Amino acid sequence: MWKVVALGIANAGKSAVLSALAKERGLFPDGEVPHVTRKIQKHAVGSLLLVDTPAWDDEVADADWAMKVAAAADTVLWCHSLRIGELHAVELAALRRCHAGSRAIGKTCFVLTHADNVASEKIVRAVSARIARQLREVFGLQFQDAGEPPPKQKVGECRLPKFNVVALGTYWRALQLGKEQREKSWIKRLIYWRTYLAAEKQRRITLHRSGIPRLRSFLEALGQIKVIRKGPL
Amino acid sequence: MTEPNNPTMPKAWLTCVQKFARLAESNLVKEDTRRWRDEIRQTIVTQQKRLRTAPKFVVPPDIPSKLEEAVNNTWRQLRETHSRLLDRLQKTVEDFEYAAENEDRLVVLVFGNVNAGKSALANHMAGLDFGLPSGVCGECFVENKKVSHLEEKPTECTRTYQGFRLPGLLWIDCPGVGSTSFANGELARRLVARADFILFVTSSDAPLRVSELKEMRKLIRESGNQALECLVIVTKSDKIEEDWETGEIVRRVVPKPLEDRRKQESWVREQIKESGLGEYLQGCALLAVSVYMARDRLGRNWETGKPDERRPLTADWPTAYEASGIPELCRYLGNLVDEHGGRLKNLWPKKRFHAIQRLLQEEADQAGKQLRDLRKEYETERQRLRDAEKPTADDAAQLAAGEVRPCLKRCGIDDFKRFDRAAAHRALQTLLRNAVEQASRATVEPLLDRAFKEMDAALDRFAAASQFDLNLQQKTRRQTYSSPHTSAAIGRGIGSIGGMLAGAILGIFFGPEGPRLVGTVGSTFGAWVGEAIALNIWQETRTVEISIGTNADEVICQTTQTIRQRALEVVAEMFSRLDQNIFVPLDQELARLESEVRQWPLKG
Repeated sequence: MWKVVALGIANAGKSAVLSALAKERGLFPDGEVPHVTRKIQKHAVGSLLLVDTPAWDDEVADADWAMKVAAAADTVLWCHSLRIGELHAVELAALRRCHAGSRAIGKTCFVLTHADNVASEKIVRAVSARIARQLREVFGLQFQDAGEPPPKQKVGECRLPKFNVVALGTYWRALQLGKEQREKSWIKRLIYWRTYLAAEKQRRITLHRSGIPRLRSFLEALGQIKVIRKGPL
Repeated sequence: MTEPNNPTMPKAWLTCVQKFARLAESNLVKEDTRRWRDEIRQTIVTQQKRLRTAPKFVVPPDIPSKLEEAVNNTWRQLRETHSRLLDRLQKTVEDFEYAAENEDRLVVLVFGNVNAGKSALANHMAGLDFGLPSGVCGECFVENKKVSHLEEKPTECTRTYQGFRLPGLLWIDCPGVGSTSFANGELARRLVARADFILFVTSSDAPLRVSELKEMRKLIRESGNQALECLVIVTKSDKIEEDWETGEIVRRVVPKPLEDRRKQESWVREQIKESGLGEYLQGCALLAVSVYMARDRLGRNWETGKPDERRPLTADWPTAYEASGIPELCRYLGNLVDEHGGRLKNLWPKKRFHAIQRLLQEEADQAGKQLRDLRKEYETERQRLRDAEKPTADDAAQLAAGEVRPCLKRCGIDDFKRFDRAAAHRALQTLLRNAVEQASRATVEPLLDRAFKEMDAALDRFAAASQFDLNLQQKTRRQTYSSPHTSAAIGRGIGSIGGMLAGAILGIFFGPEGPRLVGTVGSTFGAWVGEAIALNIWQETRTVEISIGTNADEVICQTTQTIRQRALEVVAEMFSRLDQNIFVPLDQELARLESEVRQWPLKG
C-alpha cells in the first residue's frame, strides 16, 4: 500500500481532497468550520492508503503529531486553499519543521484546492506563482508555476514539477454528469446523439479541469514505482 | 451631503455616510476632553523629559565574578526597558497629536489576517463601487499619498497603512498579520493604539485560526488600547460556482448556505470566548459580508469593481444586495456613530492614559523585581563572603603557624651568631602573606576573580606591615662550686696552732716536758676542733655562668603565637576591605537604581 497523508492548516480541504481521490463524497467528513477532523482517519482505496489528519494551527503538540505522521508517510499531500492566498507564516514554519525532522519536502506533493472557488483563473495563476516563489526562496524548490523561464535543464533531466490545482466542486459535478449520462438509455443516446456527445465533452472537460484524475494517477504511479523498486533489482 | 442621483446607490450606505457627516459637524470632542487630553500630553512629555535626563545605567567596576553575569544582564535589561519606555512615551505623545489632528472623525481600524479581504472591503465601503462622482465617495490614501483606489490582489499586497477618508470617518486598513515577508507588528500596534473602533476581519475560508487569535491578542495587549469596541466581520462569506452556460464556463457567486454561516458564526463566537479575547474587547458583534457578492449584485466585475456588461443590473438589486451583508454593516456603523460616536471619541484619551500608566507601572514593577532579585543574589554572595571569613582565618593561622619552625630554622635560628634577624623578619612576612593567600584562594578567588589582583597588592601591604618580635638571646646557666677541703685544712691549721698554743701554755704547769706533750695533744685536739668549727662556719663557694645555647624554642613558640594572631588580623582586614571595595559600591548603585525605577510610573 502506498501511504498518502494529507497535511495542511484548517479549512485547506484535506478531507475533501482525500474523499475525491476515493471517489466517494463524505468518506472523510468535512465542513465549513475548522477542525471537523479531530483524529487521524485511514481508508484504503485501490492501491492507496489515504490518511486524513486533523488540521493544525500553530499549536506545538498538534504540529509534532502531524510531523510524526508525515515522517511515516510515503507521500505527503500538502493541501493549501487558493482562497487563503499565499502560504501563511504558520504553514511555512510547519513546512520547515517537517523538513528538518524527516526531510519530508522530498516526498511532498503540493495540492492547491478550491480552484473553482476563486473569482478567476488569473487568481489561480497569481497565487500559485507566489507560492512557487515562496517555496523557492525557503527550500530552493523549483516549480513550473513560478511563472518565469525555468533554469536551463540538462539532457535527461525531468521537467519541473507542477502544483496540483484541484477543484472539488467541479469534480463532484463531473461525477454527477457522468452518472446522468450513464442513466440515459441507449435509444435516447442514439436519438439525441448531438446533445449526448456535447454533454460527454462537457463532462470530460469538467473532469479534467477538476485536477483530481491527474493527482490520482500521479499517486498511483508513485505506488507502482515503489512496487517495482521493492522487487529484486 | 446632497443625495446624488445614481441608480446603484445603496440606501443603507448613504444613510451611514450622512450620519458620519453629521457627526463631523457636531462638536465631537468636548471642551474638557480636549483640555484633559492636553494635560495628559503635558504630563507624558514631562515624564519623558525626566526619564531622558535620568542618569545612565553604568555597570559599577569590580563586581564579583559570580554576580558579573547577573549584573550585566540586569543592567542590559534595564537599559532596554528604559529605551523602550522612552520609545513608548514618544509614541504615546505622537498618538495624542494624532488624536488632536483627527478629533472631528471616528478612527475605524480594519485589522485582520493577510488576504482576508480588507482592501476590497475598504474600496467597497468608500463607495467606489457605486459609480458615484469622485467628490462624494471617500478619498483613498496610501500613507500620505492620495490614490484612486486601494490595490486588491489574491496575494499579500497591503504593506503599509492605507484607507480612505469620508467626512467624519477615517477608515484605516492595517497591513495583514501573519505575513511571511515582512514584520509589521509595530505598525499594527500603533494603529490599534490610535483606533476608536476596530473591525476585526477574518476570512470565511478559515475563520479565526488559532495563530490569528494569538496574534490579535498579543497586539491588543501590547498596544495598550484595551477595552476596545470591536466588530468581527467574516468576509468572503460567499461561494463561487462554476457552471456551463451556452457552451462556456462561467463563474457565479452565491451566498454561503445559511447553515454554514450559522455554524461559522457560532464557531467564531466560541473561539473569541475561549481564547480569552473577551476580556480585552468590550462589545463584540459579528457580521458576515461578501464584497464579491455585493459587486456582483451591483452589476460589476467582482475583482475590479468596474461595471461589467455581462452582469446586467436586475430590477430588484436592492434586495439581492442585502444578501451580501454590506447594508447590514452600514446600518451597524450608522447606529454606532449615532449612539456611541461621541462616547468613543471622548473615551479615547482616558483609555490611552490609563494604558500608558499601566504600562509604566508594569515595567517599573518588573524592573524593581529584577533589581530585588539581583539584590537577593548579591546578599547571598555577600553572606557567603562573610561566612568564608572565619574558616579562611583559621586556615591561614594554621598554615602560617605550621610553617614558622622550618622557616626560622632555615634562617639559622639555632646558631646565635649566624642568625640574621632582618632576613628572618622578611621571611616571616612572606610566609604570612603566602599562608593567607593560600587559605583565601579557595574561598575568595571564585568569588572575586578579577578583584583578586587588587587583593594581592593589599595582602603585600598588610603583610609588610606586620611586625614580629624576634628577640633571640644567648642563654646561660649559673653554677655554684663550694670547696670543703680548703676550709677543713685552714680550720685544721688554725685549730692545731690554737690547740698547740693552748697546750703549750697549759703544759707549763706540768713541767719542762709539759708544754711539748700537752702542746702536741692540744694541737691534735685543736686541729680536730678547728676543722669542725671551720666546716661549720665557713665553707668556700664559687658561682660560674655556663653558656647552654640560645632561646630559639621560645622565640619559635612566641613567633608562632604572633603569626597566628597576625594571620587572623590580616584576614579580617582583607575581608573588610573586599566588602568595602566590592559590595558597598554595588549596594549603593542598586539602591540608587531602585529609587530611580520607583520614579518611573506616571502620577495622577
